Amino acid sequence: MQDGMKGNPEESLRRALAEFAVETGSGAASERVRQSLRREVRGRAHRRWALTALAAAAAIATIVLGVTARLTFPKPVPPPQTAAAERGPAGRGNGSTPSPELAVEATPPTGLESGPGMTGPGGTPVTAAVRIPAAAGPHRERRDVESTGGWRKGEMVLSPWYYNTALPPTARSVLVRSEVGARTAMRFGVVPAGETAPVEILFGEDGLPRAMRFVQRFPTQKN
Amino acid sequence: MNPEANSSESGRAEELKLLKRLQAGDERAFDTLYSRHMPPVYRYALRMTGSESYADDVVQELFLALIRNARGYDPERGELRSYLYGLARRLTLKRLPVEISVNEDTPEPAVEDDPFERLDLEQRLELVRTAVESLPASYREVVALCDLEELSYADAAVTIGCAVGTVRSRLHRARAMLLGRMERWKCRTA
Repeated sequence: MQDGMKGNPEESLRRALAEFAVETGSGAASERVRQSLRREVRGRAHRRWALTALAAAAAIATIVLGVTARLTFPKPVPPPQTAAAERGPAGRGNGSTPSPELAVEATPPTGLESGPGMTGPGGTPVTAAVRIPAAAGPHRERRDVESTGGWRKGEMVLSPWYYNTALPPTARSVLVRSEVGARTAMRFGVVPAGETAPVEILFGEDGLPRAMRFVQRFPTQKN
Repeated sequence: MNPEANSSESGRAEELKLLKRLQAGDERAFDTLYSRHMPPVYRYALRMTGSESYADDVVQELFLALIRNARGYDPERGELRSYLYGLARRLTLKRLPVEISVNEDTPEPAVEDDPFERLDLEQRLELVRTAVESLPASYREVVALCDLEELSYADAAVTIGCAVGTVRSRLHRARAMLLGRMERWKCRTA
């Protein structure tokens, strides 16, 4: 076909370029490229979904662990507020000044008052009484409980027994020292040095335990 | 308010939304953007490289960068189309052999005869293709953008990253070079 153009070379070039543009204008990348890119997009969506699911799972796990820990372990105790102020000479028993390391924080059950009936292992009396006003509510107070019988006082809280809130308030309570097995101690997050761990259990006058705490032995204790 | 500016703004906002959806893995957004922007990018790469497989590679690499947001698109700086041309240009130039720079001050001899005289369409297309592919890259890209893709000088200048005057002068010189080369080849083949 001879449909040659004659005339202005620049005009001919312009028309030839336009023809060339039309001729090459319908080109498209191969389907392989499209499929490859589509796979990338799909993979991105999957990765995004997986990340979202992972984040959601992590959040749920955190919540579940938090709830489990709250049910299993004692609540953290804020620093005592009136430690020295509430320690008076009258509450010291024999009048000796206890060393600071003997101070024990306690979270007593509401409405409990421990008194002269508190005893240690083997009937050893616990000389310092813990007096908690019935209207004091669930706040925490520092109490001085002098140790006898080879028990070291640690800075441990008295953790309310699980069913404590369902029990009626008692006017008096008794602190009894005992030991629990290592497995039981580990359920509370305490790793004992031996096969047992010493504990102090707060019993109400009705004989039901209200709270418990782990304590340490004196290094010199012979058991 | 300028209605063109408004439509341009809404167009950019829409493309930005599509881009974000694409980067989040939305296949519909990919289809929309691909069908809209693949053809000009492919054509540009094909005309610049003269190779379909290179053009495929450029398209693939460009859209991968877009999906992965490797080079962030900033709508404040221009339209997505210009951004993609710029990206395609960089990817294409990487694949071209290094060329000896052309002295732009040397005037191209004027062509008096019509090189397309007595040529049929197929011959004319072949002649143009060969001539375009023989141009130095800096001239070939202005021909590809302005004469073949019909971009304005301003858009081509944004894509290339030079002044509008540079685009104009390069285009003028590129056309003269095309005519000169085609005339010589036509004489040789005749």
